[in-house]
Amino acid sequence: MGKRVAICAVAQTKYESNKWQQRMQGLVWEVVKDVKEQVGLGFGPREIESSVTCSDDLFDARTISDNAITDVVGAHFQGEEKVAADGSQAVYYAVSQILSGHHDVVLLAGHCKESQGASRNQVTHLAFDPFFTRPIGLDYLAAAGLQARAYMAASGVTDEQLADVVVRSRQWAAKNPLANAQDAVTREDVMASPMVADPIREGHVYPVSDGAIAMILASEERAQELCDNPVWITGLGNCYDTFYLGERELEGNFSLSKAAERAYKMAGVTDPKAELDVVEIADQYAYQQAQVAEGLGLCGAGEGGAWLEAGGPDAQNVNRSGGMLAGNPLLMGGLARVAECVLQLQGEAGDRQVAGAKRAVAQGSTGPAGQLQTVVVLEN
Amino acid sequence: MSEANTEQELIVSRQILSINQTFSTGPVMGRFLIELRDNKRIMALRCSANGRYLLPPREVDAMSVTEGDEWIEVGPGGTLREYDVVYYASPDPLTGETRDVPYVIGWVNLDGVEGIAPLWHLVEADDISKIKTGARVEAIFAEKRSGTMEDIKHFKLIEEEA
Repeated sequence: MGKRVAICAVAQTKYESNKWQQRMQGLVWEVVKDVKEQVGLGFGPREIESSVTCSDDLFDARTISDNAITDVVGAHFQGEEKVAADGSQAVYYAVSQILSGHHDVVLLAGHCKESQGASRNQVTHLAFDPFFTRPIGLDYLAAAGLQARAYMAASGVTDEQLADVVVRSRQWAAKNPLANAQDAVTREDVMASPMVADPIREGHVYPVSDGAIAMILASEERAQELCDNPVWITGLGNCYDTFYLGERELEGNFSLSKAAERAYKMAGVTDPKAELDVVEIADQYAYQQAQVAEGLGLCGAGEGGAWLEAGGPDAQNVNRSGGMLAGNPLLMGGLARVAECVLQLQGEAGDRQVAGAKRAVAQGSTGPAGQLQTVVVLEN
Repeated sequence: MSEANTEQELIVSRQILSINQTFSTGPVMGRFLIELRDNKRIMALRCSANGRYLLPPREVDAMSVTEGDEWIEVGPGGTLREYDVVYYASPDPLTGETRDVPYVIGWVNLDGVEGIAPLWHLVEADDISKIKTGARVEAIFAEKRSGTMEDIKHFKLIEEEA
């Protein structure tokens, strides 16, 4: 990238399984107010000039659901645009607004209340087409079951290893005050949890979660004025795979590998095994931690099982936040990863801080079985 | 190709989509609804940053992007600003239930509001042709109230003496 864009402020709600106490507007306002105060800006020229929101009409049960949020993000009299995909895509969009020269300071605000609908699976069921894939009962969880089976066979990942991924997630989540699932579990607990989409067990699935995230992004010149510890976005990449699951190699990482290749090229990362201090993976299901690790080049293709066995997650500082497995709602999964990378690079990650972290990578995905992949490289 | 298509049966698939929802009202709208239910009072939220009244109350005033901070009772009388007479029945997609037509949707500026803070509701009159912009109306509360906007049944036209 020619010019540089930084994240100057981040705020997240506590993630919880049912934030019934607040409307979605209340959740978003909590974090928007926080980041505004961090940088001391209001809305308008030379202040926050534009907002990018991130939400999903079906989870909000409103058409064009960002119209519910515009009051709260200062969109009155200025621009607001919604990204209806994982929040890592909203980061990409906000960076593009700044690099285009249209705006210098952009507010990003995302939310999702998975608890609002009676069933998260009913909502993701509607992501499928009404003729062929809905009638056979596909939703994101069932689609992930297809992928998990294919991936585990190809990469030699075992039920025991997946249980250990969950155990480790909870251990780190206990050190993350905002995480949802913080209760310790044992390998035996996870392996005794019922199958929900064989080989995916109940214990392998991220808990139903509600939450909101806001960030302030700024051009290089403004970022230096607004904060003492800007975190620079040095690489971005994304890639869509085909919608139809049967046309994909579900065990592989076609779209993630492309996204990572693009982000690494931009950031000058040549050896991801050695050059990343912090890695945050949006693991909706335990198997995805290993599959995404392959896609990000933390280990070779087909080596996910061996990577888990050799302690790859600890060695490469993967998901010290607890990961998405500890409970972020859909759409916020990748954005919470970016938020954690910012905290790590600012030295604000508390008991889970990676000492001296200089470079981090965050991954997010949108759609069934990781259809759209987004990779963000950040540096301090 | 186009000729062949005219001969082909084109299949459509009829489906009903529904997901049960629990919409939170939060502390701000929630307080408004509690006042309706328990006290038959209509409470506006005033924002001291710019003096705007918010009806229904929301967490944030869009103009100043600050929180409202003063609760003020308004109504139950008010002045009709705009209205619309609806002649088609829009059925509930799940029950097929319709409302009687025609019905009147009105935008009422309640007594006590400074500036414009419209509350939308249904407007009723013995003769709807007498409903006019600028007419006086009054909130009629339901006997049984449950903390929803239906706790106000409608606004009733106050007919002026001839």
